[in-house]
Amino acid sequence: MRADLGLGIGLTFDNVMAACERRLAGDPTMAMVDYVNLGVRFDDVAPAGLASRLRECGWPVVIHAVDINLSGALVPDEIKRLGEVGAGLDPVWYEEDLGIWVWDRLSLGLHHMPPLLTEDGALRSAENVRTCRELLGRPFNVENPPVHYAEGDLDMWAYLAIVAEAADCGIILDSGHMMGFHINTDSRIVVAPAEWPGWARVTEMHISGFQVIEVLGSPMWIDVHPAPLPPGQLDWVGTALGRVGDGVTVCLEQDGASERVAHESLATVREMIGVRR
Amino acid sequence: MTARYDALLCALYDPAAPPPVPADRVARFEIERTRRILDIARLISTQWPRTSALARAWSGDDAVHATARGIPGLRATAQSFADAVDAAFATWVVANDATVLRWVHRFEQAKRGKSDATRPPTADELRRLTSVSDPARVLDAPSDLMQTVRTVDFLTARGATAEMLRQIALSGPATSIAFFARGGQVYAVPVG
Repeated sequence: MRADLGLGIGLTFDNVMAACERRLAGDPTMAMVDYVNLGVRFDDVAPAGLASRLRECGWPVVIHAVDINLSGALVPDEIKRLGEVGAGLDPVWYEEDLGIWVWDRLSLGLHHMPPLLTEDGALRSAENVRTCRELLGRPFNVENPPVHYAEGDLDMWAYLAIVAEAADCGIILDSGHMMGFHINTDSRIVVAPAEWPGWARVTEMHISGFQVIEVLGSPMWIDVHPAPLPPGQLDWVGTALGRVGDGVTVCLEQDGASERVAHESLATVREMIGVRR
Repeated sequence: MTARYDALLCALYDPAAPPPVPADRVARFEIERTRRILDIARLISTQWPRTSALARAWSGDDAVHATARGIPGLRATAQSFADAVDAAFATWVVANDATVLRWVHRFEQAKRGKSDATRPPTADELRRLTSVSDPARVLDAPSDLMQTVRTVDFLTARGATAEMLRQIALSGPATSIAFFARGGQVYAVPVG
């Protein structure tokens, strides 16, 4: 199930060509990148010549789908169109965060709804993952989403494991989202114990910046991708990497970060992965 | 399950709605509702800084709250959240009694290239816009709207009180303002 792609960065069609050019020009930051994780919506149009540019860079591609309701009603035509956009890029797998990203026709973005954390909800998500995999003809993995409000009798760890088991898919473990889940549900920040059944299915780990602010007298986690990585997050990632075992792929999602922050984050994470290899 | 998502989302955009959640989740629901409404306030103040300042002066939080309440009703037509906020905020502005607020909003919409209230320039106006290569649009205002906009800018940049902002009124002769883009910037120029 795992394909050890090394260390990747999250990009979009808007900035991937520039990243390729930097890589081919010998840019030291881009030289630390082993693959790219491309955010793609079904109605996006890939830049001309992208596939050959990526091959020149030696960069395999993972496609991070955008605006697929894995926990609600799927739109099969949109999944097929996503597959058409991605076909030329030969993605190793597709992935998407669980939950509701489009409310009727309204793309929610930062106003996304996390899934209802119930067993029924997990099985519904799993069914959708299987449908996506069939329509795309590629592996389709699920990511724990950002959570600002949650309800249901499961925690995110248990929910993820049920979805992945029922769909027979990989797990994209987003460190910031998981720490945010704990903060925004007033639970203690933990890394699941070694016995968590999901560890064997963790295909990729995501790392990005975040901040904790105070709202109405309580701490609130917010996604801030370009922010420098908090030290506590790297400790969390280190513990999680130890439980995943060999072969996990790590993606740094720091879109919008300064050159200095991006370089430091890549170097730090690369060292963490390198230590394990 | 879809009904539950609908119920949660509708309540998350209605500041006055009782949280439709278990008692032990109410506090977190309120925090999340606050986050969403603050994001709507951010979008409004970013896209329409002058109208936003006047709206707050005239109606406190009502503009933001009414815009938030309008979001669920736009879920079948708006494709992006920003578009939904645009439509819901415009609905609130149009229904507002403060004439100055409606005209400043029209000015800001025209500057964003989104106003239905504008028209193509006349041949005479085009002659006065000789250096403009982009298609210009013209807003006909019943007063000196540029002066009103400058007044709002002056006062808001200096942290004027709500009372001072409420004293701004449309004044001066009717004007026509041309909006055109150049070098990535949108300019507003009186043409009549």
